[in-house]
Amino acid sequence: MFRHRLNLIQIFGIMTLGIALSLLLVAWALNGEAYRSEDRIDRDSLWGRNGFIIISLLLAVPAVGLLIRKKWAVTFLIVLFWVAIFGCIGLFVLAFFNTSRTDVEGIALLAGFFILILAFFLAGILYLNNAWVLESFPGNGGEKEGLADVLDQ
Amino acid sequence: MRNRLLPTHIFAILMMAVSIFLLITARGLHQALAQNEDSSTSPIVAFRNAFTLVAITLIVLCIGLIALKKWAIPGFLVMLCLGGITLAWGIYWLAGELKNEPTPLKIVVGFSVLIYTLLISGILFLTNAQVLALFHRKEKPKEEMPDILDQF
Repeated sequence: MFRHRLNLIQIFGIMTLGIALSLLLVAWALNGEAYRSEDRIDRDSLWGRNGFIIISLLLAVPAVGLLIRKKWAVTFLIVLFWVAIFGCIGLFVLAFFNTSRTDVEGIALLAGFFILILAFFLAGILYLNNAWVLESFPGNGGEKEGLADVLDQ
Repeated sequence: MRNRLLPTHIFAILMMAVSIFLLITARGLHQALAQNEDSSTSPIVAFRNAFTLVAITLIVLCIGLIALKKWAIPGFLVMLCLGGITLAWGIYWLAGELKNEPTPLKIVVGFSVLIYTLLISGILFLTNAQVLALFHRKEKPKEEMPDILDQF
């Protein structure tokens, strides 16, 4: 089977950078929507665009940090994921109370989507706190160059 | 606080959530079909069946991954590649439909980048030398080590 020797943390960095890029593309779409009409600017689309750009930058900076194996990037992303989890719970509660109790399908879809998003963030936190993954950082046991010297003694 | 879960187990947890989401979506489509009387040839039927099939396959592969079965990794790789090919076909079809609407088309491009990033990251993760070494090392019994050391 094909194998490569990228670090586990760098794979996560590539994924986070891709997510940031996709959010930037959505911001680009919203920018077009905001200025579509010549006589007025759509304020909601502008707010959306700015929000997506900020989230994208918040993801892109630690993603680059992970690619160059900086430890602060892990802490930054873990904090960001916890904030996102609490934000998601708040949004879910709001959406739940705005959905009709008789709309079982709507509630089920909402719950499914919530489970998916929550699982992404929790898996991200578990991954970034994982002992095997953190070995990828220099000085965390991942660098085996010193072993040969020890054996020579 | 560091956890000592295998990275493949974290991947399996994530995939389990994806399969639950697909099952709930399939159930929603089933309910929509039940309300529509003349829907036997509807594309919703195909989507419902496809979502259910993919979700069940993912659950089986997740169980395999958690149980450290060798077939689970190639199975996931095949599923991820098939997902990428199916998505390419879906994007081509959607791009044709949204030719004259630039904003939804840009959003489709953004979501395609997102999903392809996740698929490629999944493939990179499952073909990583460190992940495969950890996965296969856990399969081997540890009792062999003291015997080998005793021989010297």
